[in-house]
Amino acid sequence: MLTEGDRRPDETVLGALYEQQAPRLQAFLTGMLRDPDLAREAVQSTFRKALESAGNVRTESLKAWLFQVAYNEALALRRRQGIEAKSLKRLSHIPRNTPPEAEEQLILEESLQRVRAALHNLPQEQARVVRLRIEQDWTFARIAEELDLPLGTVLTRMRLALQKLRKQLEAPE
Amino acid sequence: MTADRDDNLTWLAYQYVANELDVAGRQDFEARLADDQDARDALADVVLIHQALDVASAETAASAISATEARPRPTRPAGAASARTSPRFVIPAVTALALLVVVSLLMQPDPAENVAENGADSAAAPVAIAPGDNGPADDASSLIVLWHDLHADEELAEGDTAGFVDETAPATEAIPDWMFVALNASDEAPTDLDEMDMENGDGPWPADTAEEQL
Repeated sequence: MLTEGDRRPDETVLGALYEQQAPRLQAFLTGMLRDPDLAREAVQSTFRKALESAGNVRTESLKAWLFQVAYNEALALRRRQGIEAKSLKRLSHIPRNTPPEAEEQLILEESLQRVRAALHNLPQEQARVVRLRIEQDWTFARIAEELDLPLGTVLTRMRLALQKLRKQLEAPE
Repeated sequence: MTADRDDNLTWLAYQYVANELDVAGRQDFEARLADDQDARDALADVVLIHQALDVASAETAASAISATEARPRPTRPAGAASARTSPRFVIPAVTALALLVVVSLLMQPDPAENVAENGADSAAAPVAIAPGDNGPADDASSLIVLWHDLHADEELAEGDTAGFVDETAPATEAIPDWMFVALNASDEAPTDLDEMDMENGDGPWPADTAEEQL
């Protein structure tokens, strides 16, 4: 571990950071690339670069630096793969071909469990909007029509629900 | 970070993931991802929320499928009436069959007329009998055949697969007495439908009270 005087990360710190941040990094990259396999590839190359050059990064800014590297990796992969924004698919329709590593899966599953638990704790009307929008892929206009609600009410419920779900996802730092 | 900024970032990240931003909005958000850690966290969280809901949805669908597969195929107990064997279906079909039998009997040539037409030469010869016209016994056998044909059609209508048909049920089912009564009464039935008092239920079939109740 680091001492007061040693502010540079070592491999142990990076290892702990990987365990802690890999699922979120993977999710961040999936959001940018819309391809879980490609995102996993980007996560691996991000940590390879972190091992090579993290010695120059302050520990307190290591997480932000890691995401910065991941962001650049995603842009580079996009250029190489020719991924265009207009051809991006919805996340839920992207197959997950390669099963994740067991440890990664455990950490990811923990996050997903928190979201699912939070979904059960949402007010029923908010959970309903979230499920119809994300699970059923209904448009907000259709949800408003089917539930006989103003569109603004539906949007507000979605925003509130996302906020509450995010709070449950706050990873331990 | 204020709650408002957090809320806006979450919403923006959601719109980005759901492809609900226009090109300019998308480019702005991606530019923000380059140096705004809060925006990156928001994006990661929204993706995880999507994944959690997708997994939950897939698990629900999978459990629904497995429950369907595990559910035993329904078999009708011997002698028990199917839910679809309702008066709405059976009564019109049976009455139509009975009417068909009555009409066909009425249209049979009268043996007495045959004798008269054939004259004395034919008196020694056997009377020409129409196929199947063997009197009441033949009428009953025709009725049995028609009754079983009707049941065969009904079984097909009830279950499109053999698994839904009760194979343990008796091969033949009893013909209701009222059909024989209807057959015997055919001689007394009016030959002209106009003579029937339909409004008083004096038709060739009983009033379908079950249908009226619906």
